[in-house]
Amino acid sequence: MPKAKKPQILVVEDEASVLLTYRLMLEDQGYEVFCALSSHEAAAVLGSRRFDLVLCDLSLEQNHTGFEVFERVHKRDPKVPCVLLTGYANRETTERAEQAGITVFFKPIEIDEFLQTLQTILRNSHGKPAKANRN
Amino acid sequence: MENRQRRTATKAPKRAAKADKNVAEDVHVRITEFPVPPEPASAQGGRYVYGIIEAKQPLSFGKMGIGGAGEPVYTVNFQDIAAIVSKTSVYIFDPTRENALAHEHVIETVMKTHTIIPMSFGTVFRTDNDIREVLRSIYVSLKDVLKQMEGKLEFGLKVNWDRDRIIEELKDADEEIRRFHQEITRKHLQSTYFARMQLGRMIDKALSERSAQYVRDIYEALRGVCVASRDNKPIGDKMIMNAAFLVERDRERDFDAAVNKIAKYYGELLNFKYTGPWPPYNFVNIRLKLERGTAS
Repeated sequence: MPKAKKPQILVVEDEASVLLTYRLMLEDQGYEVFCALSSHEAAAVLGSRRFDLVLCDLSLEQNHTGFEVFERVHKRDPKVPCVLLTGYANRETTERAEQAGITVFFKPIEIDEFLQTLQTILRNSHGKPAKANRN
Repeated sequence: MENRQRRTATKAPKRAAKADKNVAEDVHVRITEFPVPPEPASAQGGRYVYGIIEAKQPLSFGKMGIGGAGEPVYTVNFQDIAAIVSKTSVYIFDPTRENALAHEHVIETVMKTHTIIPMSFGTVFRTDNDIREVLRSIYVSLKDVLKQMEGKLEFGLKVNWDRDRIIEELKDADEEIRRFHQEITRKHLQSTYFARMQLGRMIDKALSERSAQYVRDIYEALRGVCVASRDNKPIGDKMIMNAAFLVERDRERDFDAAVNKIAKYYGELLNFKYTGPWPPYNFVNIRLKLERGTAS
């Protein structure tokens, strides 16, 4: 029987150790994880590959933001689910994310809930925002 | 192009501080319009320049010029140096595979018999006289670089690692990581964000140290058999080393043996991708550009 293809997730985070942590966590769950340390790296990898889900920190290198990455993702394929991670809970960010159909997680994330949500998003795979944690 | 000639490499270490210097220079030539009698741009257009060699007499290298028309490749000479060129009707070349291979093929052919200073892909001048003017104006620098590069070849070495395997190894072998991992497992803290982040930071730090150690060991093992090395930025997250080595032509076998030895030592832990010989792209960085100014 052919092996089921692992869901492919792109994680964008400008801090290497945090990026590695997400990677290890997601790989433990059986996902195939691709990493980008900057919006530039993300743009490069997004140009050549389609992902099942994109996970991105709000604050990236210099003044780049996760929204730029998501715009690029949605330009290519509006159906790809996107998840924003942020430590700064403000209404503007949340509203902007909700309007764009992006799920938001506020740090520190509750890991079990986070993993469960990703699983649900991937299962539904409609790109609709799942209920985010509001810690 | 990179895998043009992949060498076998499976072999062992010692260690090295990065070898020596990078021989590189940028040459920007500014000339006025009149030092040389103006030569009308020919109907065939410009001259694509592949590289510079030492040559007292005009030479031809066959019909293999870039552009697909099989233009003859010949030299434009100035004193005892010469530019390897072919005629072209195109001034801006797209870096397609076909064009890149044509550029590379000419350089490889010339390399068999000459020490060449390779030009960047896409270097085009208008006329032979323009090229002579450049050769004249930077003659001393070119002679110097040709002397430094004489009888030397470049080899590329990319080293990838099995990161997951190293992480597993670290979880067992690194005392600090092992204890912390055990502690968060015992206390059921795997789902705690801060504990996971702390473990991630510890692993990331240990990975960086391990990678730096491997790279130092590889450089050390090769230091005695190369003239210089250059460390380029690794590509992707599996690559820990992306280096170029300048090697004396008559020490090619020694270098080969040293790479194989260290690759064998690391076995399946590290994957060595060894290519060459190349012209010294990484050690000569000459970009020729003619700026036309007005004579005052």
